[in-house]
Amino acid sequence: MNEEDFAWRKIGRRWLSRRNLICGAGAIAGAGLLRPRPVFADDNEHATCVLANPIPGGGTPFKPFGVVVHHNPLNAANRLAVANINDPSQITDFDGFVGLTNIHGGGTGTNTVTGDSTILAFRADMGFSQGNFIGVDGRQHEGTFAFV
Amino acid sequence: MHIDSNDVFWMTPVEHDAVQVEFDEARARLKVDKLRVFDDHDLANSLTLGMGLPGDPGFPYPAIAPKAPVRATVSFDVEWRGIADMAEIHNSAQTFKGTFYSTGTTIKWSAEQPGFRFESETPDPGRNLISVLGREQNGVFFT
Repeated sequence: MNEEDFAWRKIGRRWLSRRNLICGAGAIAGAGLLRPRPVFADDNEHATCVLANPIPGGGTPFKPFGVVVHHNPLNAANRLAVANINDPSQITDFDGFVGLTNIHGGGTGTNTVTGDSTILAFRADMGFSQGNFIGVDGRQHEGTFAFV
Repeated sequence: MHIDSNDVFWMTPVEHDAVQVEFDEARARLKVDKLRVFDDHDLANSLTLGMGLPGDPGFPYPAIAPKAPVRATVSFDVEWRGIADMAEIHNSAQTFKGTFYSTGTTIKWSAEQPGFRFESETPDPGRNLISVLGREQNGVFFT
């Protein structure tokens, strides 16, 4: 590991700590959204989220910078050859429905302070997973997730 | 959207009825209203956790300034329908299998954060690049 890698890993750990807090906050908002078990190991506010595990594959688009992206983007060349797709799920140890889309379009952006608006373009990589998964706790859960 | 603390990419739990699937009809709908997210500004800042890219010589990426994430809400209504292709896949290398449709898709979405609002155009099936709907098993469910 070179010094740069080490520096980025340290940064990653610092952010992981912050993200763990975000996870806790998000889980409070999301309590009860997963069925039939709640997302918490218990009900106290310091409880750990019951997280899913990522698929093993993926890539690092900005290597050596940035995190590993455990996601297989759809390739439009496979639109009429869906047998060639990679695993479209972001979650491993998963049994259920998965939807994924790569779509583009336009819309209107508005500065809500000035009221000025402008036409903007977008491209979205979105989807969902709904079904059973083995969480980091080693137990089976049922859940519904949006890929945003 | 942030990557969660277990490195699952851009997934967030939503209510069960946010997703409706009629798989045999190759139809599905994802509808979420006012989901609280972080707007990371751009892909580079999302994947570098707000550190941007240095643009140093030797790396094939432009310099992208660090940007802190901003709280936002997004609403979206995505519909998968219409079969363009179908396949049964059994992929031992990636340990996933299932039935997969290539489908049409439309999307209607909006986003709001302090000082800014976005509203997408009327849903247009012609905007789909590729969409997939599948019933799959992977990892320990792959046998």
